[in-house]
Amino acid sequence: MKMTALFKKTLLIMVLIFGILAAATTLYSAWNLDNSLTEEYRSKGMAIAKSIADSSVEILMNRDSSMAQSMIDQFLEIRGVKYIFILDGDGEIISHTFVPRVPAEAVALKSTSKELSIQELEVKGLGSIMDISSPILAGVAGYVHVGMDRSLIQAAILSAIIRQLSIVAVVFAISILLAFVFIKRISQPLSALSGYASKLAAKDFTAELNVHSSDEIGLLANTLKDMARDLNKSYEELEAKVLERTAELSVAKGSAEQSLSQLQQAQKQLVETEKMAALGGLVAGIAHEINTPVGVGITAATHLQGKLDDLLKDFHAGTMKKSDLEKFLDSSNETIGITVVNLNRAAELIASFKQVAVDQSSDDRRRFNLKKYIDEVLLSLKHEYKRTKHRIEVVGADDVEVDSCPGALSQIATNLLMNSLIHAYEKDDEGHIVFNVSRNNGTAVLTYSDNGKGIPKENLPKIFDPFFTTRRGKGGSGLGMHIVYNLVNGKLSGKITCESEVAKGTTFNIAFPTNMGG
Amino acid sequence: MALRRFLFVVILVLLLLSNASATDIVIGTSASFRGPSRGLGIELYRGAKAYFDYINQWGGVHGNNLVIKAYDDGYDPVPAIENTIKLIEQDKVFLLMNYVGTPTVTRVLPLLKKYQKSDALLFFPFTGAQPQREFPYDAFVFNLRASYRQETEGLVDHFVAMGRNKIAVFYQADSYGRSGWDGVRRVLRKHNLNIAVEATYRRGAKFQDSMKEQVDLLKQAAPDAVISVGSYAACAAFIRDARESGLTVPIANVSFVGSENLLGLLQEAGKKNSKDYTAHLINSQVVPSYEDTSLAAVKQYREIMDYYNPAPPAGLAEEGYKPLPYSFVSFEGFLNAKLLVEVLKKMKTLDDKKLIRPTMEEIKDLDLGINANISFGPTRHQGLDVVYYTTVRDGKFVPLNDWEGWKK
Repeated sequence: MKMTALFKKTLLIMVLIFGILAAATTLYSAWNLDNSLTEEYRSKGMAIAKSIADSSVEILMNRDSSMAQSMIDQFLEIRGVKYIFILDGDGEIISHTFVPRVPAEAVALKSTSKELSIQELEVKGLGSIMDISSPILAGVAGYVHVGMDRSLIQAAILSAIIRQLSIVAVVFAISILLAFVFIKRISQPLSALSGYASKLAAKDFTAELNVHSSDEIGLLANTLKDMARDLNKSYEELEAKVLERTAELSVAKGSAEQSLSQLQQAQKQLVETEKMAALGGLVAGIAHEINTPVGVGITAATHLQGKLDDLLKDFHAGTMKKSDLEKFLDSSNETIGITVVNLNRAAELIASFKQVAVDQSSDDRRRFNLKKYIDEVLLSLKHEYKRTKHRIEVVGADDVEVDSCPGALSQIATNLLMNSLIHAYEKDDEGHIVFNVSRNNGTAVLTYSDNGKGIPKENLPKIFDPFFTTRRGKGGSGLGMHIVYNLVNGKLSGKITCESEVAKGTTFNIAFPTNMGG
Repeated sequence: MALRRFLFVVILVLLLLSNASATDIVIGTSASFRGPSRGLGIELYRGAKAYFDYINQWGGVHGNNLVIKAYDDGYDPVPAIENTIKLIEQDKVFLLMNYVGTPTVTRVLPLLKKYQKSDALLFFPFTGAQPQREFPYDAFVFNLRASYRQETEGLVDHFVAMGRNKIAVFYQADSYGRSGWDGVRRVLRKHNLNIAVEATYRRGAKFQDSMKEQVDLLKQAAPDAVISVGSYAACAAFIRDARESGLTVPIANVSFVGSENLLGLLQEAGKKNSKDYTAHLINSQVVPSYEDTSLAAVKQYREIMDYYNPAPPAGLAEEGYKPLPYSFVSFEGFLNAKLLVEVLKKMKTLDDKKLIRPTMEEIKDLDLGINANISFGPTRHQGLDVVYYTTVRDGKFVPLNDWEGWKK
């Protein structure tokens, strides 16, 4: 049988209690017995001594000591009497019961008292003795000494202790047995309860609990059952709620995902829209630029036509004069010259615009001179800065030929410049904007810098984020720099960094491979 | 012998015819028939039984047979008291006789006083102690033998005469031993001497027991002689151990020791150890030596013992006891019985027990055939005062006549 922890504890307590009980009762009864037996032996010894003393007067005075001996022998049969001896009036021992001799301790006992007297002595060979002496005829006729054996008291105490301890041991054994049975009766339902509780903990609400008692344990069992029922109910409710919430969450997640994709879609559309807007701006710029030479050409041609009509009229009227013809020729020469120049100018513009526009709307790669291309882009943007007082220049190496995506570069340059124009300067500022072209081994480096108001430090990390703008509601989409960042990293396979100091200006460093294929 | 047997048959027939109404005279006894002192009880009984058988065969006393009702007390006072009560109240014995031992008899004495009204008398106890020789118990006891006091007096006187003044006493730790001790002490006082050293032993000691402790105790005082007052088993053990430890001084035993039993043990042990333990032994006796066939009683004793050779009391004695052909003890039993028969014969009727005492007290100068006169009187309840001294010669206790060999 396995000992339960409960039983072990109880056993320990019982051992403790019984140990204390045994020790206490043993001590008490030993003390009690010692007292009562000592008293009994004392009174017994006194009675014997007195009786011998009283009856031996005549015997001692008249007779041979064998009668006295016979008398004391008789008393020696009484339990506890270890020795008896009689001293005569001269102090000589005339009868004794010692074998083989009177011990020195007994000889040394000097009796002078007229009363009963008691002495404790240790006699060699006899052990612990209570010597009781009684005078015969007030000591004149001698003394009787009775030695009571104290070891009998000790033996009696020992045997009493043994008996008592045996009883305690038996009671202990019975108690242990009872405790075992009792605890088993308690612990069985407890184990059942604990097993039940473990099952509950493992969410097994179908477990059965067979504890039927009317005590606290029964109460506990019932409480546990109720609790299990409640728990089961709560658990089921909880589970249902969790399912419900999970479903809701999943719906929410779906819609969030949808929103995200819609957002991404929107972002994409916005980016496209931005690009188109840029293209739109370009087209407007082109129209505006071409308007002047074409207008001049039309005006010149119209003027020439008028002159020609006048001439023809004179010619037909015959009123034409030689001077008129000469005048006409001079004028038409000049007019045609103007027309040619302006139409050439328009053609030049269109070719330039065409290239930039084509580049902007395509991802094609080709070989081009970086500095020259930046010039062309600037030309296409001239209408944006023509009415400002800014000085815009392209400096650096003329021989940086790159094989890359000019469209992307054009958009980058456009966005950087437009950002500076919009954000870096107030209306009448005279800014200085520099595109610096250089090369470092296989890497082309375009450094763009303005001397505008700069970007606050806290905004610096966010400038490439989409939709980050300080001019929301004033026309800023917040996508410009994001597009730049994506173009540098994507189309150019390069890197862009930004340094800025408030009131000093902003610098962008763009480094990209001169030959993307290589 | 043939004649005696013929006579026996004739008398038996006559008795049966003429005295059909005869009753038994029941003599009660309590003695040690078992234990270390059984030799004494058995031999005392056998001596008396032999004589009673003889008397009964010759018609008994006044036509009544003498019957012994015996109980064993194992030399222990308590059974002795119980036996005595049984004998008086239950068995209604005629008188008590041949009790053995001082501790037993001393304790029985107050009983006799109690049964005064039923005329309980104790005849010839086998003890030389004083109590039954002195007031108040002498009234209920008749002794034949001399007292221990007389025995020890004689022994001490002889030792002192031989210049042996340092007398040691070895004695039984009870009233018997004390009686002998007291006798020695008194006589030494007379010589202005004291007991040089003493040692006791517990009653009931066996021959196998060691007496070394007692011997060593006595040796410390280098005594000139030892007087030993004990039972034969203890005394024999003491003598053996004394001789083994080189204590060679004379050792004297009193009559109670049972000389033949003592000698038997010593000779047996001597044979086993190839030693002679019997030298320098003196035993005082209260009856003459049964070797002295010049005495009529000795002759008669020997014949009767030879003829009847009584068995130990039936059902009382233990197995394995070998009865002695003759012994001082059975001789004493024999003489006790003989004296009793003489007294009974003198009584006019046996119906009145009150007559026993006066008849006894009238005996004067009666010789039982031991060359010593026996007299009793109202103040004299001891028949003999003679002490005989014996020593071992040729494996036997013989009369000691010359003490000069032990002169110091």
